[in-house]
Amino acid sequence: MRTLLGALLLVLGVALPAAPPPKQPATEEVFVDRAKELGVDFVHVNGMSGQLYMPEIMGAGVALFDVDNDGDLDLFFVQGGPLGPKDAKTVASSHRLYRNDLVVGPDGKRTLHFTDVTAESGIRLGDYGMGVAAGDFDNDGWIDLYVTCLGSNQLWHNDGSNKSGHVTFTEVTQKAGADDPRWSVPASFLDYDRDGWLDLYVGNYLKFSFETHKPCRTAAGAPDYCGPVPADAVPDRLLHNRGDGMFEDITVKAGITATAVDDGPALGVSTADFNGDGWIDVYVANDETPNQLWINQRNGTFKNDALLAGAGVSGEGRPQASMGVDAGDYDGDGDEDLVMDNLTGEGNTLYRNDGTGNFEDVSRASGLQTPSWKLTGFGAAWLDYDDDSRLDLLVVNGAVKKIDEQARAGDSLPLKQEKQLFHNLGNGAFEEVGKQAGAVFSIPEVSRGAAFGDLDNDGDTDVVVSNNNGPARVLINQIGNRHPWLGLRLLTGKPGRDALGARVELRRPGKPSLWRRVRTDGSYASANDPRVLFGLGDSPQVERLVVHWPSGKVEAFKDAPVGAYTTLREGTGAAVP
Amino acid sequence: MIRTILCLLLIGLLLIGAAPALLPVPPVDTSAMEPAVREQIETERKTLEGEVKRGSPELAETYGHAGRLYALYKLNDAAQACFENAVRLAPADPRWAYLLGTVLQATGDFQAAESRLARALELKKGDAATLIRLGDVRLQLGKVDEARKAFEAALPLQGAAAAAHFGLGRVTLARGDAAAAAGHFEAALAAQPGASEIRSPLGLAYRKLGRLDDARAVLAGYGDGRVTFPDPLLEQVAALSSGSRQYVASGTTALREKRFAEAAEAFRKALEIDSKDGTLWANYGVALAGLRDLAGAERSYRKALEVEPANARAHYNLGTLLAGRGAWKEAIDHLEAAVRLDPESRDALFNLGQALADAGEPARALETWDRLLKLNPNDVEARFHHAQSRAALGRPEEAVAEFATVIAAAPGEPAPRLAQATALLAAGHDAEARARLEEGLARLPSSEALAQLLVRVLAASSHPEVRNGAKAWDIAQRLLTAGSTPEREEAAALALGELGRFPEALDHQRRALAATVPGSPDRHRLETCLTLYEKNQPCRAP
Repeated sequence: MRTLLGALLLVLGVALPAAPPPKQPATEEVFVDRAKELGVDFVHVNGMSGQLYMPEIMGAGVALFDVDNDGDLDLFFVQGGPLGPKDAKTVASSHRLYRNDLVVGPDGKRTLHFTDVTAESGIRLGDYGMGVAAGDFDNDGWIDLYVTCLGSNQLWHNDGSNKSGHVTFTEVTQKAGADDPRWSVPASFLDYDRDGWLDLYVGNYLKFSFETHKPCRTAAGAPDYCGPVPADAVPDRLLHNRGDGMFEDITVKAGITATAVDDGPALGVSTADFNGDGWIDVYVANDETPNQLWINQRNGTFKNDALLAGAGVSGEGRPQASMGVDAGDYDGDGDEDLVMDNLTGEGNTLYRNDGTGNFEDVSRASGLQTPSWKLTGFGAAWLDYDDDSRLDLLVVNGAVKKIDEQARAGDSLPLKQEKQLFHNLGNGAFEEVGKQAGAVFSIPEVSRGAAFGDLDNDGDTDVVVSNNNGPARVLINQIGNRHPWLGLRLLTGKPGRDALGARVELRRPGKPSLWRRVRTDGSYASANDPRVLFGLGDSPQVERLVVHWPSGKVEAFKDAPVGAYTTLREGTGAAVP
Repeated sequence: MIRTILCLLLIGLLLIGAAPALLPVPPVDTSAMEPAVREQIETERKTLEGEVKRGSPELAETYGHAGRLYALYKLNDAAQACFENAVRLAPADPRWAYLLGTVLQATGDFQAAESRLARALELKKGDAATLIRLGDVRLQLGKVDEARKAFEAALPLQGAAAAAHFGLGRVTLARGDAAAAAGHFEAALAAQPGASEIRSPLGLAYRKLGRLDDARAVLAGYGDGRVTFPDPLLEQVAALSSGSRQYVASGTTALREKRFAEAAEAFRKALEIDSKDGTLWANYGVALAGLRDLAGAERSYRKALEVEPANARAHYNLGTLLAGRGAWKEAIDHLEAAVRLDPESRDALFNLGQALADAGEPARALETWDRLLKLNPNDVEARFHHAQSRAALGRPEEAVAEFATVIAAAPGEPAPRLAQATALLAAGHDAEARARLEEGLARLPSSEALAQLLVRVLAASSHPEVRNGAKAWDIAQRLLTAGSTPEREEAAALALGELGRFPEALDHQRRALAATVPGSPDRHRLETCLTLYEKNQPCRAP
């Protein structure tokens, strides 16, 4: 009978149910959200009022930076707040600063906790907040903050610890000439002219006015959030740090806005030496218009050559709605490759650098594009989450057009999407592993900002996510440091400022070098850990470290132990010709 | 036991064979939709429910129709379910497999899209749209060789050459054959010159081939014009529209690609449904202006401002149009409104500056150029006009210096050189004017305007040391070899007058007069000089 049944089903083209697969051991979560237990209770308020104002779905960012110089990363969340014409009434909240109270016991056990220190810090909400950049603009050894807004931006000077031991901030925006009253989103500190002072690139988005606002409509005529109108793009701004506490607007002089065609609605900025000439360039991810690659001409000016470089539009020739962006050497060939996330129906984009600043769109072949096709990405960064020595990619998502199914279910902000984690397979391809990497990747949210860094100093990268109109998440990495690792903080000048833009080559015996860059910018409207973290995979031997400082100097260092963070200062290594 | 299971299984299979299992169509929330669309969708839903209930033999067609409607309004989940049901009910109908494939392609389900499109191709061999889409999907899936086959099959088909070459260019570029890719992209661009998106991959192919100048040249014309191919089934989908948004979308695309007639038609239909949208009226006006229907454009811009008084673009467009026909006062009012509403609009500032200058208000024009130059000091054209306004305000020395910066920034342009020489003449610096004109003519020998002004200076300057009749005559003769025009004849007469050859000067001057329209402002000058030649006197009027 058994034979008869089998034959019959075969004739009918029906397969017998397969034997159940052997039970897999439960996979360990890579990232676990521990925001609540760590004391991080920040909730973003987008101020939505039913008017479908576009800014309400665009915020906000988050920063990881060591506010009090105690060796661990503190958190700063950008708040939105009330949104609408002046008479609008919504509940105001504030930006929030959390101090990291990490304790490492004698047995090496790490106890991580955050304390809200906003009140004593003096930081307060100004205009509607969007993003944040972190950098020590006055070289006093304390990291300052620049908050971008719909309206006037804020430059918060870190005054250091006061007599009570609290770190306080003073707003110096107007005094420093650092304001931009337009709608700014990303910002980046960089020393483009090698004068030792951090300049500031401010990415501006669109003209927006409550007075002329009207909601856009879906194909069926239902009200929905608007997308960008390219003609409404406003120019970015480049502020030169004069070294006396003042910034000078040199946007035009530097050629950043040579013609109206050069204006794009900026949502992401990544600064790095893309063409390998030792000078820091600027890449701007624009919404629905070509992205810009501002190549540093080494004379105080920049030239946008993105189209010719192959990094302005997709390989098919189409401008994309780029949001989050990051530069990093994912393929281990020593140059800065660009990854960015885009609107639903475009997928993530990966531009591979050939080392000269010319790029090739390898999005499809890399496997980053198709799995992200249905999603709209915002915060994103290269990170080696498993310390296997290869840069992986984490993207947080959230739509900008209403998702029917969620709207039908009564969701007041029906833009929720899941996060993604892409594992670098080492052959130019990536595999999406979010589902296996933790329950948090399956929670649909309207994620925007994401900042990447080692919160517990245990040698792997954690992630802090700021969700629009929702609670923040603190994703603690559970597994990265099982591989050997080496962490560095690179300082320049006195008393010492993070050498943003410095590149480190970690030479390994018999293995290709690993390259990492000191950066806080990238992602979406957020600021990352300025330290560099090398996951060493199966090759823990380190021959030496070669640092390419933004000043142009190149130095070699030998004494950096594996399994710890070491500070390297410019001028203390052996000069490399 | 086994016998029972077998029987149940067979019954189930027979049932499936009789009537394929159909997918439920996800509900659609129509509450916030445009009334016309809501009614259309509700009617469709009721029709579908009724047909299902009565087991209509036309159910595949009904599901297909509903699917098209949902697809039209980007209700992809519902569209997908409908097309899937249509496929199950009528598996031999290529339309449903194709349309299902397009929805799956749009939503990023590329594997499923490939399978459906491949099936559509089996059912309708040699269909261009199916082949192009199949090629695209296979390229997306990394099936480069199979994509190539699809594009090659589409290549000879009517209307598909541009899209097929575009696909083949991407295929060959993915394989590293930049030369072949460049060839395909060139062919695609030749077949559809408006598809400016092709210029990006073409530029990159040139770059890979080391042809950097070619790359820069082709990229200079880059834009967002899309490659298109005939897609009759999707055209049928578009034709179902009863809402304004579809027309807005298609009108906007057509406008971007300068297909003005199609844009105007789409906006007109959209306005029939929603006449309270100022932006729609403004866009309709732009389309009409593109069709040279300036009266219609003006009406549209005014309508836009009637429904939306703070529409900066409508003010800008109307002001620009009015300036074009010399209605300066109103033009300036609207352009000022545009600038007030959008203070950083460089286009509005530029057109306002020009309108003020043309209206004879150089002081206000100068202020406007100042504002524009503050936004962008590198704007050479604005700098030129700024200098012109200074000259018009009787500040030729300042103008001359500013023209020099424009000439340095745009050495190939004759206009600033001409303007600089004119300003020098106005300041009485004839010798320097001559020197600058000679320099300009050496740099731009084909510029007739520079040559003519030089002849005038050489022949008619009031400064004797500047004049050189022989040289003037030499240049004037060369100009005449290209044919006779009033300006050339007058220049020749001036030169001959300076040489004392008055009978010949008279001949040329009479020819110039004969070709000049009676009542023209030039006529008085020509007649004055004619009288002087008749008296054997040269004319001094550079």
